[in-house]
Amino acid sequence: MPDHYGLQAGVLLLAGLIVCIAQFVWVPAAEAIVINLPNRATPRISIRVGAGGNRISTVEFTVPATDIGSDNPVTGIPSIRIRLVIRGPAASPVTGILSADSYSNPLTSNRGNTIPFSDISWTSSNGDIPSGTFTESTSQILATFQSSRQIIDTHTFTYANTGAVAEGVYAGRVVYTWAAP
Amino acid sequence: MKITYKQYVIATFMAAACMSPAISLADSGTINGGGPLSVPVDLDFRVVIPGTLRFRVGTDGAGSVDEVLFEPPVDDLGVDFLDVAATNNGTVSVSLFCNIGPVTITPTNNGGGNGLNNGIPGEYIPYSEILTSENNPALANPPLTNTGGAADATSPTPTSGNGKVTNYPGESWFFTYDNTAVYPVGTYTGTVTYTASAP
Repeated sequence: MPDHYGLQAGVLLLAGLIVCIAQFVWVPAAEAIVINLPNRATPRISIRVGAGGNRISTVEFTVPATDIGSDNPVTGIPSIRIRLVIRGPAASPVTGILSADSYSNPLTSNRGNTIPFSDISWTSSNGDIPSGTFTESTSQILATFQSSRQIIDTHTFTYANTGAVAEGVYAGRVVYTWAAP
Repeated sequence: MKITYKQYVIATFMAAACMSPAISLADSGTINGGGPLSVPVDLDFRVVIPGTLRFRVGTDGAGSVDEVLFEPPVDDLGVDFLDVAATNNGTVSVSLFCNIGPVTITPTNNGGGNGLNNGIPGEYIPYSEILTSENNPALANPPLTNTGGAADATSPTPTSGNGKVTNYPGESWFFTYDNTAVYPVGTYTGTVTYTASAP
C-alpha cells in the first residue's frame, strides 16, 4: 500500500522549504534616487547684468576731442545684457521690481570734476526693460514683473555730450537691485 | 535602497543650495526665501574726455589771416579826438574752447619792438595807435604794444568745470585807429599773433 501520508508530508515539507528559501533569498529591487523638488512655495529671484561671473562690466564712452560738448551723442561700448528670473507659486505670484541707484556713485574724474548720470540714457533691444535715462536717484524703478518668468534684454547706453566738461576720465557705478518685497 | 557615494554628494549639494540665503557674484545674484528678497548687482561706467584747446581769431581755417584796414581821411590826420573806424575787419569774430585749465592769450608782433612799418627804415606807427575792445569782457581783447608778449597777455574767465573749462564759442573783438599823430605817408603793415596757452 502506497505511503500517501509520507508523500504528502514530503510535499508539505518541500513546500515549506520553498517558502523558507523564498523568505531568505535576496531579490534585487530596482534602484532609484528620489529627489523631492519643492513646488516653489519659496520664491526665488535671480539677476545678471553684463558679463556674468565674478566680474563687473564697464560701459565706456570715448568723446572725440573735436566733439566735446557738441550735443552729438556718444554710444557706449559694450551693450549690456540683463537677465532676470522670478519664480513663485502659481497660487500666490510674487512681483519683482528692478530699480537703479545712479546717485550714490556719481561719475567723477581724477581731477574732481563730475558728469551727471542724467547725461546717460539707454535703449532697450526688445522693450522688456524699457528705454530710459538715469535720474540720479537712489531707487529709480525700471520695470516690474510678476512670477514666474525669465526676462532677457540688452541695453545700449548713450552719453548725451551736451556739456563742455574738463579733461579727464570720469568713473561711476550704477547699482541695479532686483527685489521681491 | 542603495545610494552610491556620488549620488550622496549630489544630493548634499542640492540640499545646501536650497538652504543658502543668497549666492552673489560681482554682477549677478540669486536669492530665495520666504521673506522680502533683494539682490544688488553693479554696472560701471567710464567717460573719457580728452584735453583740447581750440582758438580762433577771425576767419576760420588754418592759415587764414584776416587784415584789419584803417584809412584815416587826410583832413583828419593826427586829430586825436577823431578815432578812425576800420575800413575792413574792424570787428573780428573770436572763439575759444579749452578744458585743460586756465587759458592765457598773449599777443606778439613782427615789428621788432618798433611798430607797424611802411617799408622805410625809421618810419613806424606804434601799435599803441590801434585801440582794442571786446563785446564780452570775460574774453578780453589784449592791448597792443610794440613789445607785445606776456606784459600784454589776458586771462579769459573760465566758464565751468571747476575753473578748468573755458568756452566762448562766438565773441567779437574790435579795433579802432587812435589817430593821435601825423605819420609820414605810406602803407604801414604789421602782423599780430595771438597765442592761447593752457598748462
